[in-house]
Amino acid sequence: MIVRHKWLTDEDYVRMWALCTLAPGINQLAFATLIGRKLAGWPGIAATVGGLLVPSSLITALLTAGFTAIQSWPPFQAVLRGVIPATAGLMFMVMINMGRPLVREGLREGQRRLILTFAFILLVGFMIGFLKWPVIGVLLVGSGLGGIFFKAPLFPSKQVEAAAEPAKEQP
Amino acid sequence: MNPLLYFLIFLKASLFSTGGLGNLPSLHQDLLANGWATESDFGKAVAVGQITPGPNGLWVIALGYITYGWLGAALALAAIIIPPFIVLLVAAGYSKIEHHPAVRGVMRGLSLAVVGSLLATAGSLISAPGIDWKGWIIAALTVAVGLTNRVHVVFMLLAAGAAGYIFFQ
Repeated sequence: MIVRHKWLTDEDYVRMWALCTLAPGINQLAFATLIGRKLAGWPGIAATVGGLLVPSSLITALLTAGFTAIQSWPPFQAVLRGVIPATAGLMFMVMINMGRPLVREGLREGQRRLILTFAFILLVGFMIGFLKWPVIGVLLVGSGLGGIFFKAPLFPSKQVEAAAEPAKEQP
Repeated sequence: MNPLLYFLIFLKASLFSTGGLGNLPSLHQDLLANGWATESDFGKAVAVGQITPGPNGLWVIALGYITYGWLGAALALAAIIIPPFIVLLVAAGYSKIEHHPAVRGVMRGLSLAVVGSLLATAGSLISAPGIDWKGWIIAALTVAVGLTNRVHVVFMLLAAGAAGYIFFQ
């Protein structure tokens, strides 16, 4: 749509989206912010973010209001008892979808990185689920450890070996 | 309920999250600890958020309404609007840091930690009181069908609702 109107080139689009995945919160909102600024500065941001949020948040709030009004009606309670476990299933699905590319990356980089990837996920799950440590603290520690363990080559000894034997250079 | 604390809990969760559901584990922990929400409130809010149009991160507005009425919805909306503006700072500073080897590592560590936190939260939601083996079957089917990427989430929720009506009526 944006590309069709020639407001952005494909390259702009890819670069902006990459930036948005680095920003906190809802990526589409960050994207709307960048596009709005590029097109018309702060008024542009107000237009794109407002356009994305006003109708949809109003609908969300109204639907929730309707939902709350009928939630004590017995047949609807039965429906909810089916829907709520399904949302837990959705959470597992989101987790798998987010984790899949990370596991694939680990797989590509060899056994140690793969084990490290699973260890990270399980350890964080354990710290939050069983030890009840604060989520934000665990996320921050996770980022810090990621900066250490997932920084370019993991084991210096391998680098040394690779340097000693240029024929077996790693990609 | 203290509106300021309530808002800050939502803001903190969104500031340290990626994607639409990344803020759920933090909200889940803080709101339950304060007794301001129940396990099932999260299920209801996520369901409404999936059905409505727009970014799926708007489920937070539903959570705000369910736990604190219109004020809660407004505070939740404010809390999700602010963090994405940080992209403007990221855009300004990114060219300076993009080649630093630790940046990618930090992002990867954060993503893995978010995955782990979602695992913990999903585990907590599914073991909530009131969910029995029938609920587990519904959840398992949702995961199985969802991972095929062939069925829209709204239809999955409708099917789950129909199953609930049949099983629990």
